[in-house]
Amino acid sequence: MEGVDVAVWITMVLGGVLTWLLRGAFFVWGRPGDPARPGHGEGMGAWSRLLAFVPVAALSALVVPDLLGSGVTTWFQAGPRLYAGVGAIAVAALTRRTLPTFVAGFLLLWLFS
Amino acid sequence: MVKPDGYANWRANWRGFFVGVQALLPLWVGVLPFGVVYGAAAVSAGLGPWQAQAMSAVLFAGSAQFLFAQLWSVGTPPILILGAVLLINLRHLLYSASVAPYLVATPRRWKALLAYWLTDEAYAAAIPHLLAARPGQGPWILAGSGFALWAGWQCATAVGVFLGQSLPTHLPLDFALTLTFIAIVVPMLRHRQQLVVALIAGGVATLLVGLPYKLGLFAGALAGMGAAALGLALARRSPAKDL
Repeated sequence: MEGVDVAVWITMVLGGVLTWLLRGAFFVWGRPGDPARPGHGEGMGAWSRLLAFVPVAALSALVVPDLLGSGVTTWFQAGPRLYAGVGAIAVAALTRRTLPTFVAGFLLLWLFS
Repeated sequence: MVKPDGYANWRANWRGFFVGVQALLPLWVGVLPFGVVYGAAAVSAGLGPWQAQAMSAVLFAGSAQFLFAQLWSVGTPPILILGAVLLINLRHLLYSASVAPYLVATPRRWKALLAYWLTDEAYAAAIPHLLAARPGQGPWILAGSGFALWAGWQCATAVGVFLGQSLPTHLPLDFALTLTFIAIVVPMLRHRQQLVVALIAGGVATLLVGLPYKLGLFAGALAGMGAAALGLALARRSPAKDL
C-alpha cells in the first residue's frame, strides 16, 4: 500500500506541474511581446484581435455539450437541462447578471424535471 | 494633500485585486457545489482524505481532478493518467495566450503564481475586467479572481471530503457549473461575429462530445477560433454588426 501511496503523490505532483506549464506556456515561458492590449489602441495586431474571441469560443464549447448532451437531434428529444439552459440564456441576455441567471436556471430545471 | 506615487500605485493595485475577487464571488454559487461533489467523489474513488484535499491544492483543475480520481480508482497506469490530465487541460493554452498581453511587464515569479491560478472560472471572471483595466492592473485582477476561486475550491473540497457521503445524491449540483458559464458567456455576445463563433464552438464540441478526455471541448474551441479568424478576414471588407 505504501508504494501505491507514493505513486499517487508523485502522479499528482507531476499532473500539477504539467497543468502549470500549460497555463503559463504563453506568458511565463514565452518571449515578452507587443505590450499593446487587445481591444485598445491603433497598433493592435491581428493576433490580439483573434485572442479576444477565446473566452466566447472556449466557454461556449464548455456550455453547449452540457445542455445538449449526445444524441439529441430534435427539441422534443431534449431533456430538462436544455429547456432550463435556454431559459437561463434568455435571462442572462436580458439581465446580464449572474444571480438571476442561476435562479431562473434552477427554477426551470426543477419545473421541467 | 498629494499622495506619493507608490501609495497611489499600491491603492490602484489592490483595487484591481478586489475587482477580481468581486468578479469571481458570484461564481461561487456554481463552483462550490462542484468542489463538494469532487471531494466526495475522490474519497469514494479510493483516494485518502488528505490525498483528495491535496489534489485540489496541487492540481487545482476541476475536470482533471475528477478524471484523475476516476482513472486511479480503476488502476490506470500513472503515465496514462498524466496524458489524460494533459489533454483535458489543453484548453488552458488558449487562456494563456489570451492573458499574455496583459502580463508583459509583470515579474516572472508573479507570472508563475498567476499561471497556477489560471482556471476556467478565474479566467472567465477576470477577462471582461482586463479589457477595461488600466495598464498594470491586469495581473492584480487575475490574482484576485484566481485567489478567490482557489480559496473557495479548497474549502468546498474539504466539505466534500469530510461530509460527502452524507450529502443528498439527487441534487443537480453539476448543473450549477453550466449556469455559471452561461452567466459569463452570454453577456459577452455583443456582435454577430461573437454569436457565430459561440454557435460553431458549441456545435462542434457537441458533435465531438464522445471523444475521450473531453478533447471535444478543445476541438470545439479551436473550431470557434478558426471561425473567428475567418470572420476577421471578412470583416476587413465590412465592419461587424451589433446584435
